Amino acid sequence: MKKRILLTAVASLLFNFAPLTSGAAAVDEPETAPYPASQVIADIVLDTSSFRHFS
Amino acid sequence: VNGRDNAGARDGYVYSYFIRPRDVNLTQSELGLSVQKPGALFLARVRKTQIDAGRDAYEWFAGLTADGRPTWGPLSSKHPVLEDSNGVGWCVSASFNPGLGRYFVATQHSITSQSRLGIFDAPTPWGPWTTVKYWTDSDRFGAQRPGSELPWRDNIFFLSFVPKWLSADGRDFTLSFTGAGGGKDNDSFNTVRGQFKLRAK
Repeated sequence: MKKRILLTAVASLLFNFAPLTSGAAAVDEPETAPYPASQVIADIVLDTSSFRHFS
Repeated sequence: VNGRDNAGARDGYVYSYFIRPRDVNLTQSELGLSVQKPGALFLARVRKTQIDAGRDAYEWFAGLTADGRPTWGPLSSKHPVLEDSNGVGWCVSASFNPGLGRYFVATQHSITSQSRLGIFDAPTPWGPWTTVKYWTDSDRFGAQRPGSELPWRDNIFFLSFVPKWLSADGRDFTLSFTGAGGGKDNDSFNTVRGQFKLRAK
């Protein structure tokens, strides 16, 4: 009887947590850069008026 | 390639970066054109005179010695040279900027074709890497482009510095980039000019 209760509890946990787990995986992970900021280059600045498109 | 006849090369080797697929048992078509997570790049080198000699002529970056020197070995000894838990794209660019004396690697992360790209720099092809720019979901490459009359979609998956168009001091550059679009908008050869802002020494 105790074994059945235990199995039921485990199954219930799995059933209930499975959607939460998959839901959490669907959320975007933090987009943190993997390396510290460059000590040579502070930033890059794009000249947005210079975009060129060659099709 | 660094300059005419590769005259600007650091040594007699040709270096190539390789993406680590998320599952080595999958074929290219099964992997698709997706970001590979967790992301890692490997580095291989081959003597310039042996570039067509076959895979056994290549040696792989196998980590650093205690005093920071690179070690090289067979394919089985390879060690990631650049890692990003957000993933690396299915295409990568690498270039050398002689004016700044820095190597640059650029690749996308997180999700393909969403203009989420990182640019990393290092003093050698094997690092140590630092981050020049990391465009994210909330700050995508090219999302802000005042002055441009081109229609825009956030679907870039590749960008690269064009070595031939670098200024002598290395500060002014041209990026070439391409993206998805099924033959429209960014599915083409595109360029934008820009400038590095250097830190005060």
